[in-house]
Amino acid sequence: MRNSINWPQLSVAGLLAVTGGYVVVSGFSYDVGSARNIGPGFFPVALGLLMLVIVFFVALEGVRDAAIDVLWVPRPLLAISAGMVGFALALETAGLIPATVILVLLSSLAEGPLRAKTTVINAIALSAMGVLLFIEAFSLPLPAINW
Amino acid sequence: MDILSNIALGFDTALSFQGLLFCFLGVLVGSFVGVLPGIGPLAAISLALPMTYQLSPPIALIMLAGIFYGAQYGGSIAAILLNMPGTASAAVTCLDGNAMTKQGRAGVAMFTAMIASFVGGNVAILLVMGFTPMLASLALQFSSADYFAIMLLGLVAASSLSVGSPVKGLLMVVVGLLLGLVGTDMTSGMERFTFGVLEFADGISLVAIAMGMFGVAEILVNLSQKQRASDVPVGKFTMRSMLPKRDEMKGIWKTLTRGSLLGSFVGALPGSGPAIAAFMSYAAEKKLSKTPERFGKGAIEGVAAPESANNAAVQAAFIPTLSLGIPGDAVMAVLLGAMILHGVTPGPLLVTSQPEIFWGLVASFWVGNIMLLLMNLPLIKLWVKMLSIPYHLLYPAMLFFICIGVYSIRSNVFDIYTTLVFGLVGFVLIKLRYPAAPLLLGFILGPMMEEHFRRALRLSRGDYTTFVGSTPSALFMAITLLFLVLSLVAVFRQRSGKRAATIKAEG
Repeated sequence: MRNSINWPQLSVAGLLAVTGGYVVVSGFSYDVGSARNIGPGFFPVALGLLMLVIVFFVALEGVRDAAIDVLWVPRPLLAISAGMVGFALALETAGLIPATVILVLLSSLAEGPLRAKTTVINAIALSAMGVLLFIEAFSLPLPAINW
Repeated sequence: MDILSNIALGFDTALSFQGLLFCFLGVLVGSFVGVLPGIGPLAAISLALPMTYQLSPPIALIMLAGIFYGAQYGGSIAAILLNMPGTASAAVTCLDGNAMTKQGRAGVAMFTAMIASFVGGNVAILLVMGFTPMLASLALQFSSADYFAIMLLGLVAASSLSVGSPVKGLLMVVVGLLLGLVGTDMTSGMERFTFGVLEFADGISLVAIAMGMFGVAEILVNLSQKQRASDVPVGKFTMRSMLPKRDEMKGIWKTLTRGSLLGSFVGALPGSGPAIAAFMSYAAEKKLSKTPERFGKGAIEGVAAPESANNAAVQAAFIPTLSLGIPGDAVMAVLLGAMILHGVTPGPLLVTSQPEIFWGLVASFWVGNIMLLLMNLPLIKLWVKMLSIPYHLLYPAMLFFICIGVYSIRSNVFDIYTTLVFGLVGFVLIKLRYPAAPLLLGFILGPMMEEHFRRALRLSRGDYTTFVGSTPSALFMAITLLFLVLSLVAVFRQRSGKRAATIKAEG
């Protein structure tokens, strides 16, 4: 039986190759300079080219990689992202406590089953710790709650 | 004697009230994260970094360094009791440590690990004291070309010695170097790869990358797996069973000495960290043993060797960082970043121009190692209890500390988004077995390398042979080339090996 092509490995290698190409092109748009006095574009161009060479070997190695990697795990990916974005949005507007509660509630959805009681306790404990440690002790200029 | 007054100066700092307090906090936090699988010293140091801003630089470094070596002590506990390495460097300890637990000798294994860690740490501290000033004075004569060559060696060694594919490691180094370019170019003042984003003008935040790749990404990887550390039942042990039998201890000193020396050597090399040291010393001890068949089945040397080696390696890793300003592995790279953030310039001048930092740090290593030895044996019960904290409580707390920690560095929510992006990217990369540590090393060394590269070429008037023109640079370049050739050979051997296996299976 022939090994099938490992698409995740190949696509990530492809993405990295595109990045390398982009870096080379934009490196030329900065000034490459001369050997005597290299410009800001020299290193990007050199690194971009190097990247393209190495990606070639990585792709060669990865294309027949027999491992099956599950990358799409929607629940953790979405819950963690939502929690962090929610925290960032709420932090300066609503305050540290609402931001913490949002983060803990949303990120706790990353795996089942739902544990309402422990999650709420966790959120309260972390909010208290955050206020004591970061606002009181380290005097971060943040509101605890913006009424 | 000059060295005596220096040591006295160091102990002045380390034994001050603040010094003792923050050394204790550091090793305590270190042990804590070392015990817990899924959160390592790197994430912990990045987390603690913003909290050290109000401290004076020597005290801050004492605490951050304490986290690093404290984690090595803690790492063995989860390895022995759970068969789960709390830190990557304790992976080898699982083999015999957990086998001993299954035989009901967890206490002996734990005791051995603590003693081995202490001995390894102490041997390496002596070497740090001896070699760092020596290497620093030697390095004063290094040219920019030499520096470029040694950094290149460090990066290539780090990527090809890491576990897994060497070419993927190399690729991650280059990606790290590229990320290091983002921001305003130091020489020309030109903004590169900032995409017009104001926040990128002074570069991507080191803490955001570290927390994303080693914090958020690790959490995502853990959540995407079925089997997790906290699901495994903790092995039982009693305090009474701690002391090893007399005949077991007889040969142990030789093992400890070998492990400490090998670990120190490996740890001081650029690019190879405690995990490799532990692995090598285990392999060496097995080879030297008259009864190699006992290894993996609960041999006490199988715990003593890797534990003495990984602690020695951690302490010895400070030699290149403090003498040359070149970090050997990713954790040292973050510590180096911490020094820079605290206004300390790492490099050959550090030992002589800021002796209170170097000697204070070294003195705190003694203090910290003694604290760890005294603290961890009685605290083992507590650590065991902590291992039963369920992950569903732990990871939201970790996320909280990551978010607020990243934010607190420059009070900018933008860095939280950056961390998330690196977390998602890191998740994909780790899942596809790209090593994350070389990326961080490249990121830290990138700007320094570009600067030395530029200066070297300016001094040589554009002559590229300057990079092999002096003895040190030629030597470093030759070793670098050797590593590269070996990595490429590995790719092709693996491919042809696989093909041969396929043909065999078909035929």
